[in-house]
Amino acid sequence: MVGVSTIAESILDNPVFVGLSKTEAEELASHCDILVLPAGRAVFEQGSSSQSIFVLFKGTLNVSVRDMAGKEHLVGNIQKGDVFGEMGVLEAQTRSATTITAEDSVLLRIPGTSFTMMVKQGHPAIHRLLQWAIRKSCHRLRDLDSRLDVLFAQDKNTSK
Amino acid sequence: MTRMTREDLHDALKKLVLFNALDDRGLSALSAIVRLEEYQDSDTVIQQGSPANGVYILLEGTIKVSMKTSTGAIVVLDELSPGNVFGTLAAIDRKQRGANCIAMSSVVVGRIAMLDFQDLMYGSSALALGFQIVILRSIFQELRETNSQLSELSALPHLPIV
Repeated sequence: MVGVSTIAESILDNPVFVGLSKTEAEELASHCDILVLPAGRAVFEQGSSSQSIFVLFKGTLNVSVRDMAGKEHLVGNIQKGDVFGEMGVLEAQTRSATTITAEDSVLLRIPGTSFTMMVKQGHPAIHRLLQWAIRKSCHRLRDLDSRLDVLFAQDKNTSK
Repeated sequence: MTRMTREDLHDALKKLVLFNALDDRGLSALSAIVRLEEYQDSDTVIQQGSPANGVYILLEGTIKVSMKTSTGAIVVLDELSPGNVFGTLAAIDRKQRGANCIAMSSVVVGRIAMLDFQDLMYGSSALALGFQIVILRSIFQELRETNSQLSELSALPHLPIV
């Protein structure tokens, strides 16, 4: 069992939570737990219900999706410092992919219920988390938009 | 002049799934800063290349999103229906608009002006956090749209948002 002050220290070390006070980090820590996982363990599986939001403190995760035929495809990875799992929780949907530790990893788990409670409190830790998630999603959207632009430029069917 | 009142706006927002992170107080506070705007069929709501002037919530009608690509072709990206939030990316980046939004019927939108938008995005009150969740979820929606367009055009597998 990892104590609140140890979790708070790891929270303060993470770029997501930069600028948070010690007290605020401890408040977040008191609602969270730390997962220490060896390589090859699933953090969550595609299709399972979305209970928590995670921050990867240490290690790397592989992200894979299962196709209709049941075959797993590696589609990306999650790097140290990243926030993930927020979409399932915010959209109240099942997990869209499976995440598996690619090496020994340490994660912060924020239960969805704690997240909702801290939103209502107007907690600065949630602000940091959301800013990170928004930045990440905007970055992704811009990336997809530019790929779309390239494809449109190649597509002869587009009208002038 | 628009026929929609503040109370109507509050009720309209309350019905939208995207806004369910906000309670009644949050919705009232948000309704108070939303500016209602009305457009006629074929009016331009957002012009590609213009500076960002806030984010929009489509309340009534339909809007077509199109883009002039780098090669000059006009492509239709999306069709928005009531409940959609749009104009987010440029507002966050404080950059120029990346697409045109054209009314396809008579349209009522709520606009949150840049300064109010920034206050909400940088704040950590319950209202601000609830609003940030709305914005994040609207980006998820756009990501899903763009993702399916990409896979249609390129036969690439759907990339999940985790």
